[in-house]
Amino acid sequence: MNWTGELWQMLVVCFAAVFTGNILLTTFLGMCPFLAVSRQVKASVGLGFAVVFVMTCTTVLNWLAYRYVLVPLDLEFFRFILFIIIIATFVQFVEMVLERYSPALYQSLGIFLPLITVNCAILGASLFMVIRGYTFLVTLGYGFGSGVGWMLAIVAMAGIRQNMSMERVPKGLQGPGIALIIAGLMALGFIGFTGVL
Amino acid sequence: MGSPPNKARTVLRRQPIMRRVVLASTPCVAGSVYFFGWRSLAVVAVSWLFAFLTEYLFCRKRGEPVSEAAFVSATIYALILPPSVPWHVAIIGIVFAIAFGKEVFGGFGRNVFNPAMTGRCFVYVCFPVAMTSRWSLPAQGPWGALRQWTTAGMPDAITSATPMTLAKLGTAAPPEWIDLLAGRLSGCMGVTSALLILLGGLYLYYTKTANRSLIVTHIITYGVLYQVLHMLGVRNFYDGLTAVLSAGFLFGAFFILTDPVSSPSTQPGRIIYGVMVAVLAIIIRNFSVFNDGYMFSVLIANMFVPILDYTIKERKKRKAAAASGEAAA
Repeated sequence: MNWTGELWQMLVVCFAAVFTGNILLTTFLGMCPFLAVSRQVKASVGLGFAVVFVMTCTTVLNWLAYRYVLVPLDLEFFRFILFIIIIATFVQFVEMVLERYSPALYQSLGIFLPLITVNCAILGASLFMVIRGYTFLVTLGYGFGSGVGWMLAIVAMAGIRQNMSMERVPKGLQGPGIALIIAGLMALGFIGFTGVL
Repeated sequence: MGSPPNKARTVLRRQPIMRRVVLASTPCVAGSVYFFGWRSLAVVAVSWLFAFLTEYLFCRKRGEPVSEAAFVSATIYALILPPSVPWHVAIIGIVFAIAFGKEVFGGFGRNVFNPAMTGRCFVYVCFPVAMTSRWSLPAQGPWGALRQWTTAGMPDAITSATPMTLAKLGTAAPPEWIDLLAGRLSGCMGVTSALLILLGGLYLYYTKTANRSLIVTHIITYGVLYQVLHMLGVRNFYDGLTAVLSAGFLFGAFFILTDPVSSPSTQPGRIIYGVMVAVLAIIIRNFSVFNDGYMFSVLIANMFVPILDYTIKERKKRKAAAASGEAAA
């Protein structure tokens, strides 16, 4: 494939990952931090950026590892373990950098930064990338788009939850219950994008 | 908003704004009866009944009266259903709309999503066949369907294609604008006639019941974008005027978009919201697998309204702080 074609496809895949195939609102991956960190807008923006960054880098790293290590060695079945190791190492690295240069953000993210390691959306993006057979540039676009889509969803959710007064919500639904209902209604809206790209 | 939680003396909460919206929608209800038979009125009545019952169940628990906004949601929801909608679909939709679109958030004034659109999307996704494949044709003749229960019973009266489907396939010439004004077309029961919508819509506009800048930016964005895409020759785009008059767009602009609870509360927010819904509606209507994109675009835009308002308020606060800081210095 020529360069312009591939760049175009990268853009298309990137937009598709944000809207039509939003990793949170269509495949429901990465729900735990989505529910846990969406009470305050500021924390959710921080986590959102962290996820965009980690997802972009890990999908690219995993693509390289898959293409140049696992495929030549005929060890494709090994990808789950290798991907997890790469993601964990990378998150640890990000954590150390953040702690050094942005203690405030590090404090506000707290336990959730190490938890990005087990954020299923991160591993999910890497596995989708393998299943769909993306090329290098397209993988870059896909990883970035998935991260942005996830961030979009969590920031919108935080905006909604921040202004909600819980005392009027029916008792059994306060907390995660109403959050899941909101997530469901958001997903209902995103169904509308089906088939756009 | 937020009446004291003492025991309710009345069953209904008086809301003059909501009464005006119901009044403004009567031409559309009358139009739906004229074009598609008395069953349309029954659909509206059933929606009212179930909206009231659903809201009453929740409100009784809180010790509050039912808000009249429930009837607005029910009317809007009923008017954008297909004329031959099965009863159970109509009922499930309005119950879902009031219960999950509004009451779980704490009732009137608390809902994030437009209740009518929530219900409409829900039934659209759950009952795709009932909601998209049977469209009854409008009755002909000067008396219309005034002597009929429904037009769906007539032979050859069922079509699978509305003007909107045909537009997407590119198989039909765009409808004449005079037909769009009059509204003797197949489509959702209350929104085929642009003239009747305008009658009610301009009343809302004139009395300032609906936010003016929101309506104006929304219609202009939609029309201009359509015109540009039409002139560029993209797919089967109508020209701007036809697009604005067709497919219930004006109903969306005047009645759906302007819901005071789910639309932004800041002025810049309203303008962004109007533009956003117009762009999303064009994208979803023309490029997704669904024909009706308007409800989805409202739902998607609704989820960004709180963060939009929050960002604008924060920016204003910061600006004010900076200004006062300068003044102090």
